[in-house]
Order: sequence, then structure tokens, then C-alpha cells
Amino acid sequence: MKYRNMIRLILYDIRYFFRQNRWKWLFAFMIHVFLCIRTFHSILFYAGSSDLLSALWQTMGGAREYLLSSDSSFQLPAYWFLFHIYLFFLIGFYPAGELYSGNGQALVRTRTRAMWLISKCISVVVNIVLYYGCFLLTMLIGNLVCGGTVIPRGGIIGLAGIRVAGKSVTELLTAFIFLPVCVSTALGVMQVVLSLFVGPVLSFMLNIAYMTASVFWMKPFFIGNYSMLYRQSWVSGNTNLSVTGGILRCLVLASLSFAVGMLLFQKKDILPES
Amino acid sequence: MKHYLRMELKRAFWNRRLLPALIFGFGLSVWHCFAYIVPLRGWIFAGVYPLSAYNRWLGGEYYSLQSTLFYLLVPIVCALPYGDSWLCDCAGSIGGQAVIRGGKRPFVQTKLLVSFLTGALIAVLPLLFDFALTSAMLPAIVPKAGLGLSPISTKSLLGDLFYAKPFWYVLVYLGINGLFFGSLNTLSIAAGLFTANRYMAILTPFFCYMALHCAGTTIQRFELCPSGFLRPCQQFITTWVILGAEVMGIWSFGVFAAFRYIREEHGMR
Amino acid sequence: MILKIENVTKIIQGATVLNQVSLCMESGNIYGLFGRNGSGKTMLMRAVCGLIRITEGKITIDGAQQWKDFSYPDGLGMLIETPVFLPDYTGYENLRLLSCIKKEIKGEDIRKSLIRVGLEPNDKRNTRKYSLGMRQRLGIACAIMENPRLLVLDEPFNGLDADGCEQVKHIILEEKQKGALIILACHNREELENLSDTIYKVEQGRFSTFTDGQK
Repeated sequence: MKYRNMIRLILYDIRYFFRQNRWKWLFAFMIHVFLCIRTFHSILFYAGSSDLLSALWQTMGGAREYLLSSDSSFQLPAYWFLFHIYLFFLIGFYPAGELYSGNGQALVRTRTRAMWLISKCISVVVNIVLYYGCFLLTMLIGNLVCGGTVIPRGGIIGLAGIRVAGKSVTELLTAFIFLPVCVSTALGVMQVVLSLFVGPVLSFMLNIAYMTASVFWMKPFFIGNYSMLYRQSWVSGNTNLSVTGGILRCLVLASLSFAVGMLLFQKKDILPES
Repeated sequence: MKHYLRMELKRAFWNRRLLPALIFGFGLSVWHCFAYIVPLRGWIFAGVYPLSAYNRWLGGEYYSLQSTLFYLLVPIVCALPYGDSWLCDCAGSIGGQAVIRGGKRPFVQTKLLVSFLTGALIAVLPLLFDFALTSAMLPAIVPKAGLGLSPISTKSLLGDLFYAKPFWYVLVYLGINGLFFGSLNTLSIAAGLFTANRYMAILTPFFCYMALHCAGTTIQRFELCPSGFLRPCQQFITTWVILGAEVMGIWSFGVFAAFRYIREEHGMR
Repeated sequence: MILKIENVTKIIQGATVLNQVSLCMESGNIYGLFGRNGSGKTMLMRAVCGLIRITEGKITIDGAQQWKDFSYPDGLGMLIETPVFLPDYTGYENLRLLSCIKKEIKGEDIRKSLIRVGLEPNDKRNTRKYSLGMRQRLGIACAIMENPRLLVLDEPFNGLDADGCEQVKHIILEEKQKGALIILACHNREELENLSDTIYKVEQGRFSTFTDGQK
């Protein structure tokens, strides 16, 4: 009985999310198309032939380690940053918006607040996976249109100079897809929980600041590093940023955010937004 | 309109969201000072040329996290106190009450003016504070051209002024920052005509800012990226034409929104 | 159903909004709350609905304690404050979406609820285009559509025309007939006296029984 209630609640959340955020999803698709066109144009211009991994690298690659000095210039990797902050914008406003704009009608129809929060987190995860799925599909279609392969010829991502030959499919899938999704999920859950207490705008800002700090500091504490392919241990050689460590840290962050959020949400008064 | 302007100014500056907005800027400034300025105090004369406050303050460099965070997030922070005021007024009855007493034109003019002032002040005050704090720790030595110690060159905007009268350069550049961020902040008011979501209204200036950055990066014309050219150290060098065009373009949205609202026959949203 | 509110106190930012409130309510009755603005009527309703956590005291329904045995009363229908819905969807679509959470009713039941409150189920207009009165009616439909055992209505007559008020009164009496426990807050004392079995006067968070203008 409880499971059926949970499933109904999750389905409600997914439907409500899409109904409320249709325009945001359309814009997300437009951003993916823009990234796809820009990526393949750049690859074909510089490398002559395209492949899926090189295309994904253009967005997911991020930036190499930043070495601070008085002569250095700190710049954010624009497309990696755009990809992630739009995702945070897409998911971050939903729970607080649904809670306050609906006057708690959905909340009182759940059995417990815990169920409500779990359902919100699950629906956010579903949306993150769909966002990545949409992006991958767009890149796949772009690659097909350009007549590219999946693995680069010669096993080297030319524009980045990274060797992928010899890597298993599992390793490549983990590095290119699974780990970035884990990072986005952990940060998404954290943002969602924060948004209930500090507001959606501040939680969005905090996430942006965290991602910026991840680019600045190549440390395992800043899990944004794991979503940048340049910084993963198999590319950078930094053993502190191993794939396993990344997945564990993402799990810890998501679990901790959820647990703390649950404790605080149980005691929270749902009053109209001032 | 005078009374209405006074009321809106009080509303914008006597606002509990103004405090976190200023704390953000001042907090970054203090952090920057402790992280980068305080450790330099023993090294002022260690190099070829003495360290100068003009090259080390928050706006004078582009290597620190704090300066990047400031120039990245300041559009959101500027819109926090007053960005959703149009929507709140339209959702409640106060907008209609103001309009029937003073007319639509003064109402919308006041909104745009106050949002401009809020944005300008929130952007500029922390920078001024940081410059004062840095100058209290490092000497404000006039930078020397030709040594390559500063990113400003003759091609930079007001490059000659930087080497001749750097203090005036800082003030003028902060004025440019105020003008740009103030203008950007008016987008949050203009957005009120196109969306009913107050978070969208608050974030519209930030998205416009990011759109300009992405556009500049995509077509490899970095002079279009405000997050770079607005820094007094000019991470990207722009021209007066591009700066003017961007400011005019931003204002045109505000003016278009105002015009559309005044001409609307069915009144408030 | 027996709803017991025992020594309930709620303090928000130093202000006592509910002060040692003790009430006992039973099914099949209408309990009216009457008092000035800011006296605590809505706060009590929020507390019963589980939207706020009380500082002291307890709320029990049939012996089960809120926040221990349950968070939100089973079979609750509420209308608190001006109802807000998804603006780009029709009234029916909004209610359909909410009904999917418990899945206790079908589309036909939603249509019946809309007709009961005087709205057209096939109306293609989005709720963005609804007037205040229409939104109020939709809010009432939302509260009654799942055959509530506990119905909490805060100012249900707000924004309604004379016909609308009559319809809502009729609905409240019908729900009472079905055995629901109804908590109703209203500024119109006459309406409250006509409908309610017991009226409580609310003053600065304190509740006292009010009959014919005498405590």
C-alpha cells in the first residue's frame, strides 16, 4: 500500500514538474541543439572528422587544473558551466515552488512529509537523467548527421590530446556519463533540499559558487571536479580524483543533504511565502 | 511622482534582502583581502617594481576565485532586493492603487529608475570598499607602463588614464560598472511584463549576462563578454561602441516593456 | 471521527498565535470560528491540517496523535487562503492532477465536484483567466472532491456572489449530512450562526465557546 502511494506521488511529481516547466524544457533542448551545432562545427573545422566521444568532450571536458599565480587568468569553461547551471535552474525551483504556490494541497495528500521529500528528490533525479539523456541523444543525432564514429580514429581525442584506446566500454561509460550524472544528482538533491530553507534563488547561487570553486580548486571535496573529464584521475593522473572516490563522495553528499533536509523539514512550518 | 519615488527608494533600500546582497559583496571583499592582500604585505618591495594596490584589489586582478565569483553572481545579487517588486505590485493591489493615484508613466519610470539605482549601488559599493581595504594594506603606487606588470595596455579602454591617473581610472571604471549593472538590473522589472514567476524576474539579468558571455565565447569575440570587460583590470578588452551598444540594448528592453505597459488597454497583469 | 485539540500553543518569532487551545470536535458537526483578523483562526486550521508544527500540546484524531501516528489527517479537504493553481491548465486538469496522488476518485467525481460549485467541467479556459470568485469555487471543489471526512474551510465565501454563497452553504450542509467534521472560519456572523452547531470566538489565540453573542 505504501509503495503504491509512493509511486503515485512520484508520478504526480513528474507530471506536475513537466506541466510547470514545459518552457524550461524547451529551452534546455534549444541549449542542447546549440551545443551540438557549435561542437560539431568546431570539431569538423579543426579535426576534419567527428566522433561521439570528442563531441561529448567539448562540453563535458571542463578545464585542466588551474595553477594560481599573479600572471594567471582564471576562466570558467563556458559550455560545461552553461550545461550545469541550466540543469540546476531547471530542477532547483520545483519543490519550493510546488510547496508554496500550491498552498500545500499536494503535501496534505501525502501520508508523511518524508514521503513528500523522497518523492521530490526522486523526481529531480528522474529529470536529471532525462536532461542528460536529451543531451546525449542530441549529440548522437549530430554525430550521425556528420557521419562520425563513436570512438575517435586512432583512439585519441584529437582536440584534447587524450588517449581513449584501450579503455573498456564500462570505463568510458562511467567516465563520460555515469560520473557526471552522479555529480549532478548529488548537487541537485542538495540544491532541492536547500531551496526549501533558504529559497530557490539563494540555493541556485550557492550551487553556482560551488561549481566555480570546483573549477578553481582541484580537490576531491569539490565534487564538481568529477564532472570535468580533464580532471578525472585517468586523464589528470591525480589519484585523489578516482572514479570510485567520486561516486562515493556523491553518494555521501546526496545522503547527507537528504538526511539533514528530512530532519529540518519535519519541523518546518509551511506558511505562505512573504 | 516625487512621493512615489521616495516610497520606492525606501522600499528598495530599507529591505531585508538588501542586507544579504551587500553581505555577499562585502564578504567576498574581506575574504579576498585575507586570502591575497594580507600575505603580500611583507613582499611589497620584493619585485622589479613595488606591488601596487591598483593591480591587487578585487577589480584589479583576474586570478582569484573571489573576483570571478563577484563578477559572475553580482547580476543575481543586484536583483535580489527589488527585482520582483513589479510582479509583487501587480499580484497584490498596490500596483493598481499607485497607478490610479499617479498614472502609469510615473509608476513605470520610478520602477526602472529605482531598479537602476539599486543595481548600481549593490555592484559598486563592495568594489569601493575592497579598493579602500586594499589601499589600507598595500601602497597605491602609480603603475608603470612597459613593465608588463599590469594587463592594461594602450589598446585597453582608458589605458592612458590608468597609467597617468590610476585613481581616476578606478573611479571612472566603477562608474561604468554602476552604469552596466544598474542597466542590467532594469531587466528584472521589464521581465515582469513577460513572466508571472518572480524567480524568473530576479534571474533575467543573470541569464542575459550569461547569454552575452556565451555569445562572445562562441564567436570568439571576447570583447562582448561583460564578465571580462567590466573588471577594471580588463580581462577582455572592449570598445566604447560595444559597451554602449550593450547598455543601449539592455535599456531598449526596459523602454519597450515600459512602452508596452503604458499602451496596454486592459491595465495591470 | 473525534478530533481533540489539547492545550495547543504555537509561538512564531516570539508571538503567541495560539494560546492553550483545547477543543473537542466530532463528526457530523460544523464548528464555526469567529474573530478579528490575526486572532488565530487560520493558524489553528493550519495546525490541524499539519501545515505547521505546534509548540506545545497535542492534536489527536480518534486517539491517534498527530506527528506521532500520522502527519496529515486521513480524508482531509482544505481551503486555506486564496487558492492557487497551475495557471496554464484548466480547472479540471488542475484537480485531475491533484487527484492522482491518492487515486481515490475518478474523472467523473471531479466533474461532479465542479458542477456542485457552479463551474463548468468542460471549460477550456486556463485558471490564469479565472476571476477571484471562480478560483474560490475551484478551491472549494478541490477540498470536497475526495469525499473528505475532515473539511477545513477558511473564508469560503470570499469573492463569491449571492448564488455562489448559497451553493457553498448547500455544499457545507450536504457534507455535514454525509458525516464530515467541518471547521469553518467566516467573518459573517449571521452566516456562521446559520450554519454552525458550535461557534468559537477567537481572541488573541484564545478560543471560547460563543452562543448568541454571549460567552
